[in-house]
Amino acid sequence: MTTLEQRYARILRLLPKTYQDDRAEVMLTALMDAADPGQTRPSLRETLSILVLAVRLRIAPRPASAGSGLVGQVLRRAVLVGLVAECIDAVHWDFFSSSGWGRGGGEPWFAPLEPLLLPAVILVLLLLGGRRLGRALCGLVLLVLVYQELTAASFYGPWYLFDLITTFASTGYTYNILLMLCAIVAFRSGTPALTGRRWWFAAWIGGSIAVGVAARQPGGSAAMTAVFAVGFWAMAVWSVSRARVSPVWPLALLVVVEQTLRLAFVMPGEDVGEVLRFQGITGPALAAEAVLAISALASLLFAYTDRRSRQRHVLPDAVA
Amino acid sequence: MIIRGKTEPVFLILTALADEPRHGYGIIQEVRRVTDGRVDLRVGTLYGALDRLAAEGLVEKHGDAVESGRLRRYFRLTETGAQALAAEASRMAADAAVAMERLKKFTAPARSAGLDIAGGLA
Repeated sequence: MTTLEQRYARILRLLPKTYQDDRAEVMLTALMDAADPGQTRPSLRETLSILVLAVRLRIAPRPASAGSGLVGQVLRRAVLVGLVAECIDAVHWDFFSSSGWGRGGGEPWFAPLEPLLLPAVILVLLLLGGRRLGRALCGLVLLVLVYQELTAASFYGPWYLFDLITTFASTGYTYNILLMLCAIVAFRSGTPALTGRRWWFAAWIGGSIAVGVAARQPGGSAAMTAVFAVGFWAMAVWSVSRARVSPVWPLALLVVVEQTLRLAFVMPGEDVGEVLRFQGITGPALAAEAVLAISALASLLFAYTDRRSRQRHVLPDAVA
Repeated sequence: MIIRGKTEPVFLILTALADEPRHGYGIIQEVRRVTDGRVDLRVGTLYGALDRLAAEGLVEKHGDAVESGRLRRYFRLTETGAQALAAEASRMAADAAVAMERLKKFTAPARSAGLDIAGGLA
């Protein structure tokens, strides 16, 4: 390490510790790139810019800290995956046939038409930037779900209509209460905008088509089993492929699948558990969850060791 | 999408990232090139601006690479960032067009004759 590099490294120590951990090495590279040949003393203007940045990071609210941390990123992805899964899951209920779910019991005429409405609207709002309205709808759903949970008022209770017009009430109250809470917390204003929206819509449309086609096959349960197994394993493969890059996706998918499998095994009375067992999906789902858990743990360990080694490399004790 | 707290450095950073991902010093060089050396970003200024832009989803990390034994972090423009840059560039172009149009009607004022407080022209 040259004299200039050591001096710049010392100046970078003015930055907050967490900021140093993430940026010091790349900033040092930029400072050395910008230095003149033979320069041994830090530039006054560069030093002042770092000093100003250090002060601003300490006294000003940091937009980057508003939900841009690991937990926020994990929760946002978990919420969106959960909502996409809700919307896809609703397709196989066959709302639109005369013998399908929600028909024949004297339900309102619009009951079969709107089962996707709330989750789909919330998903679109959260994806396209209407966060305030999306979070308000999540709050509304949350209130109804909590009311139902506290009063055991599901079917034939005061919120009977809510059961008919959303998928939320029928895929596990606890799961959806957590989903709505996470959405309200993780999508508050000021959190980073999402990228890759087209992939979310592609997953939603693709999954819905696959489930819709499979559900209408003669003896459709085998086809549905295959579709769900492919879904679980697609998540596992994606998780493994992202494990070296960042722990965000592995953790987010583990959160989502853990919810599903908890319903299947820990809460056997819930609908999702019955669906999974009925469709023979528990084996592939359990194996996929094991892969997800291992890749999430590995990615966390990798991120931690990577951060520690960078910290040692960038700011050696000799500089202190 | 509006570039919040837009300043010339922020606009130039987004412009520098419009054609390809660049690392920190690459952005500094590109901004210097685009402005013919008029704007010379400092490293602290650049990373402060990149943090804000990343928080607003206008830029994102493209990846890290070790080159010549040094770690470089590449940044790229997001789709939202490209839309914000396009909107800002259009707004600036419209303002510039209005200014140019009005300048055509501008006539330089005659050299001030000055006021002769004593009466008559100086």
